[in-house]
Amino acid sequence: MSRSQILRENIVKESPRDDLIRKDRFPHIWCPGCSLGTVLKCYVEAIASSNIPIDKHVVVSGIGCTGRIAGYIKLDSYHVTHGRPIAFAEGMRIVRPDLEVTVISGDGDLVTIGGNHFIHAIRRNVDINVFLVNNFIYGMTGNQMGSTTPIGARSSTSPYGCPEYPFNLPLLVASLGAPFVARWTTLHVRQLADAMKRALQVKGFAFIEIITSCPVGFGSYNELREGLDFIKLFRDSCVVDHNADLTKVGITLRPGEPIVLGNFVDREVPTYHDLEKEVFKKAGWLK
Amino acid sequence: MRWDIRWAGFGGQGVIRAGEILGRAAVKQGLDSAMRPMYGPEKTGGWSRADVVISDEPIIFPLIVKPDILIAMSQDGMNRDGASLRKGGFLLIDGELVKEIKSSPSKIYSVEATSIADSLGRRIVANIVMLGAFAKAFNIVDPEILLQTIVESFPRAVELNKTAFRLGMEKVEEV
Amino acid sequence: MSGELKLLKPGTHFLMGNIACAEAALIAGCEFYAGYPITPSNEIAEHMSRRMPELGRHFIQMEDEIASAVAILGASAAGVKSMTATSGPGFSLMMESIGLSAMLELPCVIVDVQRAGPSTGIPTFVGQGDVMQSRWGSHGDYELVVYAPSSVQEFFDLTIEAFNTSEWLRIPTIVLSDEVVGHMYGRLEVPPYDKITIINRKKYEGRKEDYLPYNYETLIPPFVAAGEGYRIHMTGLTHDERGYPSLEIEDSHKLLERLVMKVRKNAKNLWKYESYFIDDADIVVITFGITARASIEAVKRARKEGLKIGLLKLLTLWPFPEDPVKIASQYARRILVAEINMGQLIHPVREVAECPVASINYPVGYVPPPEYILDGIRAAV
Repeated sequence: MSRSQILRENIVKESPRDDLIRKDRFPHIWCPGCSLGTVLKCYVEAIASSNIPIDKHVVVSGIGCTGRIAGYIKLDSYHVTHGRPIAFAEGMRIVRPDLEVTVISGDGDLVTIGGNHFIHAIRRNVDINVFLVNNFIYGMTGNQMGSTTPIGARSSTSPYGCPEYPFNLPLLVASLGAPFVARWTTLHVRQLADAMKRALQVKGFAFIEIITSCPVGFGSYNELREGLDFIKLFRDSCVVDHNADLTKVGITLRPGEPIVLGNFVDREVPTYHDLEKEVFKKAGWLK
Repeated sequence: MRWDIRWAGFGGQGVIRAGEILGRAAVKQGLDSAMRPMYGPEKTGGWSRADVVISDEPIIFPLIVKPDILIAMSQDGMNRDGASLRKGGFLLIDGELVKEIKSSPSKIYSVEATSIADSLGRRIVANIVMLGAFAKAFNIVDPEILLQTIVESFPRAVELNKTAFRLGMEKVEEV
Repeated sequence: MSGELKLLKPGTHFLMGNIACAEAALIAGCEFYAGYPITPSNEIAEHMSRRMPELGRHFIQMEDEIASAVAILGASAAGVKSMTATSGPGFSLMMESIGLSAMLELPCVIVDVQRAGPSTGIPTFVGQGDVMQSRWGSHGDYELVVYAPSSVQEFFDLTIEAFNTSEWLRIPTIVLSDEVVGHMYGRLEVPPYDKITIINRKKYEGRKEDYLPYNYETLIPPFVAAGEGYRIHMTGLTHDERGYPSLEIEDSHKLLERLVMKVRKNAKNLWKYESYFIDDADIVVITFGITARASIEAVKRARKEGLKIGLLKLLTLWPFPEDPVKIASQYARRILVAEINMGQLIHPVREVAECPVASINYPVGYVPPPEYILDGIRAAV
């Protein structure tokens, strides 16, 4: 048997997680070498082991490559306008405490056009999970630079190199008081799935920055043309440090400068819903 | 019969609250009423105006062009709104704060609402003194119903407001 | 429910328009209010911030009007009635979500207390310049229903109506009020609760496996909320009846046809208007909102002068009440459209009228006095 025949023979026809995937929507639209499938896989694993009834999980996403996750996962899923999934999720979670609402969307969606909703949801500490996929670029729209594009990186709108400082997202989120802040790459599959599982348990705003491969988009402009190039980059430059000084974890992608990963923050912070209960008490609704 | 009543003063005098209470009392009495509050952009001390329409028929146009009655609680209110009073209309003023009349009324009533309120230790009830004066000077709203509406509006200061209202009724005089 | 006792009591009240609107929303069953401060709609949010928690319902002040209009859709997707209130500049920011509400078919109510524009305009002064924006302010094709109150009572009644229509048709509805109606105090009769019609969105009751969120065989598909085990997908992308994104011409046509037909087919039931002295009128004034109050007074005075003038007050602006306007135009020599803007409602009137149509415009910021409208009428005679 040839190698491809062996592969075909052994291809998995069914997965134990098929009940969580909309198989009727496959094949998906993601590029070869993109690791959004890994993000989906980790999320599905986290849900399956979350001890929260599956029908109570809700996914909200915005526009972009990552935004399509809402369409591939077999949960109640809402694919809303560009930049707005967090505001949508807040409205939903506030009226329905029984729901476990997770926002999965891209960097451009959540912190560039949606930056205002992002910081305010963290400040309020609404009990939602935000899994932000950072591929350093606007992929679906045509590889334009964004607020996570490293200085000097090229894109379709930064042909001479990006002249702007990117966000240091773990620092931003932690500084606003979020109870859970983590960063992993899609090479760190087990740690990512575990962090997601933890995020689902955390009460309040739980944030994971997920660094993904984007060989067709970001990579094609920045000498990372294969999925494997990203995997090598992650292997060679990632450093796990749960206690990292968050002022120093901004990503430059410059040789010799690490991508720092870890579960940086895990603490108890009273949530919006706890504080809203006080309002209900003062208004005479709750004893 | 329709009465167009304009209260004019500065922010903090309770002009708009007085207009609201007057309108509510009229409705309680079975009349129709509309009240339009207006004020300047200043948080305090700016101009303030309440236009109250009271009618025994359903009010079609709820705003006031030429008031029949102008209640001026400050000189500034008089300066701003005095000329709008219908020729031959009625004027009710805080006689201490309004020195210069800028309208052509057929009758002027006066009460020193602010000093009376000061004598009660609460300048904030000047508008209630004015409501008492209004009730006495013009036979539009039943004083009993007006007082009852005031009491319901300020359940924590019943006696103070009753006194203010009574003093307004007693002290108002035609000048 | 203990909260029911805390609703505004049936009987006669004297309330500010904005407060009457908020109390109407509570009676209609609004469970979630999200808003951002803006003059002259603030009293609605302030009142809701106090009253909603008393009833165990949720009030949140969002970071901007974009977030407010999206958050109410999240709450709606979770199965509750929701609303926001704003004015011109905020209304502009909400346009994106009006389209999303129409596309996902998530009911919501948006109150626009119009002020003078364009741009920042005069925040504390009246305007009626959002007529066209309320119709097609969001991109793409969709239909919604816009109500225009001219009194405190109508602000109350039409707010309840807006919730009912939104729930019935699964569309965004807009209450297009204005600064004067919002800030004015007026008489309000609250009917006994059992005389107030409350409509709730139709829920799906069939077998779970058969559920199609946007079933082509229904004009208004029955609703399921998040967390009920249906595992539905909703997307702002053009979608098929399963809710999945689709590029197919058939899906695109069927979706758009349904989005517009659910309003167009029911237009006759949605039109609300009042006519005054219309039967023998040579000239008919068409107007809405606070301008209607000045215009009715003007028409009454004109009648006293022996002029045969009638009036149509529109309570539904969109879908535009075509038939009553058309019929009026068949008997009248001329139609005058009175509004506080430089000419907006005149356009749909012209589209259907069979007689000449002219404007009585008034520069924004101020309500035209009856005398001004009367002058316009006399000039037309």
